[in-house]
Amino acid sequence: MGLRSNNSERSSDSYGGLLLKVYLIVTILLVAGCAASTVAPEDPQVVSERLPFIRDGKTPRKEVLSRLGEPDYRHEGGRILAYKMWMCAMEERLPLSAEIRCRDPGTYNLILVFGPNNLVERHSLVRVK
Amino acid sequence: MISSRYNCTDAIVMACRMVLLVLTGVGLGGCILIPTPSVVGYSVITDKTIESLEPGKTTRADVLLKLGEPGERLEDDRIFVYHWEQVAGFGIGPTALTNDHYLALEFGPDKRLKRVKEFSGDWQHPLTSPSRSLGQLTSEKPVSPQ
Repeated sequence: MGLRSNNSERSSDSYGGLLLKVYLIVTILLVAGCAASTVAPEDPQVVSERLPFIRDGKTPRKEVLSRLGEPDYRHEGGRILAYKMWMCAMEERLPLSAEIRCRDPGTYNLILVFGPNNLVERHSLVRVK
Repeated sequence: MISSRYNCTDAIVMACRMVLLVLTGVGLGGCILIPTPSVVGYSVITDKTIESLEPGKTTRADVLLKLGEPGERLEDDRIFVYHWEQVAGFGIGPTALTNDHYLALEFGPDKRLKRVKEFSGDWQHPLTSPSRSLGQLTSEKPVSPQ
């Protein structure tokens, strides 16, 4: 009877421990879903891989406009142009796109600053959402 | 008798664990099931990023290259306003309690950052509404260079 009681106690303990582990894992996963993304420029390599024609000091404004079309935003009389872009996390091979191609894409701003010679002087891709 | 008392306590502990599990699932469910509406603002701008913005040195181009497009452009780009929300807690069901944060950046005529102002609060609340802080910023006349 005593042995039986011990066995039952042990199996109940291990069941409780398992339940606690499951609880902790589920909690961690749920909390991870709440983690907020932060605004930050992407690695320059992302742009050079997906939009290889954009090169500081080399790409003329004309080429940018012919390839990407009219910008979504302009600043300082057109010296700074900004494009809204989307990138699908699950489809890394797809290039940056000016239209939404998947269910939950990351939203980016491509910022291009032009120099006095109308060439791209600086650029960055910022994840905003 | 001892065994029966043990089982009773054990059952209560198990029930408590189950309740905790269910409450956590319900409380945090909003993070997974309810997508954030696309119009609700931007990703979080960290304190480190804000500290890296130096008045008198950082240009409008630097800000755009670092933070992307602002949510609001006021007075012919004199003021940029970035807005984001942070989850402060969870209500019953999938309702998340959020706290609105605003970063207002004022630029001078030299295209350099003049002032950084950060504020937070609820637009609907008469005392904490950020519209008051923002109103103060926009009501100030820009100083023209001598």
